[in-house]
Amino acid sequence: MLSAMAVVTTVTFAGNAVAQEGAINIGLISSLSGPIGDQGTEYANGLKLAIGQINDAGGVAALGGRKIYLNVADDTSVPAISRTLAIRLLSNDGASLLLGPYGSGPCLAAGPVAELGEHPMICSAASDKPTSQGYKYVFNRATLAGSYTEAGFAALKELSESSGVDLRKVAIIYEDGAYGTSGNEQADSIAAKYSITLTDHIAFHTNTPDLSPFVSRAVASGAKSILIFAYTGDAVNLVRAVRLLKAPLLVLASGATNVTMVKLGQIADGVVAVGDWNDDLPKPDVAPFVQAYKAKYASEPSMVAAWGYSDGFYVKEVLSNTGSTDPKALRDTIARLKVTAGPAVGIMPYDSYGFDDDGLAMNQLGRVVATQVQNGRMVTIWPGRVATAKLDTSTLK
Amino acid sequence: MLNATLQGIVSGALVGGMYATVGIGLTLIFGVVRIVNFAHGSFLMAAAYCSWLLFVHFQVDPYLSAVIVVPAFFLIGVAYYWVLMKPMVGQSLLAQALITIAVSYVIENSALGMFGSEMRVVSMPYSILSVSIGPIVVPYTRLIAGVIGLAATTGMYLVLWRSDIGIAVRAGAADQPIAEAMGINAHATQAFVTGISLACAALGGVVLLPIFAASPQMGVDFTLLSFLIIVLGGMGNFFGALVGGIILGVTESLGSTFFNGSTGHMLTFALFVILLVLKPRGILESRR
Repeated sequence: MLSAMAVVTTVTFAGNAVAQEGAINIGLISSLSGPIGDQGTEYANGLKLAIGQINDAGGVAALGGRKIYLNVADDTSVPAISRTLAIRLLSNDGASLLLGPYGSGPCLAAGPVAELGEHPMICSAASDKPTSQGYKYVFNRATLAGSYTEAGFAALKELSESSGVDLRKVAIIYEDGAYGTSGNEQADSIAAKYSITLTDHIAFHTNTPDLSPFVSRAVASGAKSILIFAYTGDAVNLVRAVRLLKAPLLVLASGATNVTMVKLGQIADGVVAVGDWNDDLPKPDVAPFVQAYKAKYASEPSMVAAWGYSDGFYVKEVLSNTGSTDPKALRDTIARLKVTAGPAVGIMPYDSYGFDDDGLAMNQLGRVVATQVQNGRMVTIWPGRVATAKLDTSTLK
Repeated sequence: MLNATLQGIVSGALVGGMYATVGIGLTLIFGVVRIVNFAHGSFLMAAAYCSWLLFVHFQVDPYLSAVIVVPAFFLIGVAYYWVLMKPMVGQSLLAQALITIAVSYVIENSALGMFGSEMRVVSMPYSILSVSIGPIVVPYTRLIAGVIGLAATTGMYLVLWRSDIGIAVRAGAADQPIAEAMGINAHATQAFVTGISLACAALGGVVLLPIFAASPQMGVDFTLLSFLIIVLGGMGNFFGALVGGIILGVTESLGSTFFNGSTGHMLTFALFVILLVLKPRGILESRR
């Protein structure tokens, strides 16, 4: 038995050696398990799909057709493990560049390792903290939570003007934890800029079984829309409460709840969400990506899967433009490169992908889209340049 | 104001009826087997996932799925007793607690591994329907939860107080050596009670699925809730769990009607502390 295990172990290591020989070593730290395991897995799946396509197409031409070896590590959604994995991938496994971790906590934990080791790291964090530490080697590819809120208000303003239905009286319904409280505070400071009147700020405790009293309060405050900062289960209950009370309110939620909202069926029709991807975007590479993802993973790609796919092709552009795998040279390329062609931007709502001087993904507001559930599927309704449908106001009557 | 109060009381009492059923399951194990089952909420969560799976793969209505899920969890409960709880009977409270906590971790992490952390919802047309009684709006899902909770509680009362097996269970709980001397198989009755307990948890998971969403985290939430109910009503007290469940449901509902977030939630615990100061052994005296 032991000898059999030894053989298997040897074969496995030998296999890795073959996979790495001559290949460009890229590390990926993602949360494949734990509380954010679903999103971390989707990011990894999108990235693996991209890397597979790049390798199948002949690898990175500028580096003599070398293929990319993606060294995947699961941090189990625990920041301390992200840090340990970053040390392992950079010091022991020889990765030239790190993708991930996924999530603000893991990014903050692994950031110092990349900075001290002088290896570029492109992580995904809804918080601005990872890129406000003065680091040179840490980049954040995500759209910040505050950017989603601001874009949501901009969308409400424009949709009010284009639809003739004034949606700018907004009640905020937020869970009273760190996420909801910070979202509520940010909304307060942004609203006036977009002529939004905040009619009420209503906090609830997560997992409260009956949220209809909060919806009634929002209606009584004169709101025409509710902006919700809630985890998926609570967001679902809020939508149910709005429909139960037949409240004429536009629900503005986070794009992270899209997959679940669609599964709600007719009840969710009319719900608007802000995110930075949708599968109906009128961009050339969206349909091939969706088709390839479904063929490989037998499921619909989410927004986060699209991030992974886009990042795979972005890394290829970085390698091509650098012409080497030297970590410092790669960092300098990432700091200056703005990708404007290829699947890195061909599946996304924006036309240029790169990073600002502080390491945060550029064009934070310009990358956000608003989607609405119409007849059981998400369609893009804002901004006009990528919209595939108009705002449906039938649930507001 | 009056309407909102009435609305809060009715809505809370209906959900509280189902909370009571879940709490009764926990109090039964404690009262009869003398083990505190920290995995109670995890079994509720597992049942909710079973109901969700039946809905997704076979389009079985969540309420109808109770016909399959509840008996299945009764059998799981019987097996749970013979395999894990029986060896713990008479052991230290710490050992008993640790093994049930370990079971809860196994169930929770299995759910996380199998289903991820995504909330799983069922979308039924009746989940946004309601009946109006004057100014009070009663959602169908809460009405069903209240009616099923009341029916289950009545059924358990009849089994425990009006049947031979109920007499055996209560005799074993009152004095196990004497009960055994009278020919009662104490372990068989305890296994039966454990089965009933898990069936109650499963019923809670199934009936609450259209109101909440299934997630691995819900197990911990409902374990805490169950403990609040049975401590409030009196540990091991059948009727105490009923009263505790309804008080908790109504307090929770009124708290969210008149107060913001944590303040409303805090009221539940403030009431809990006040009642325990006034009645340290729970609202009702122990009656098994």
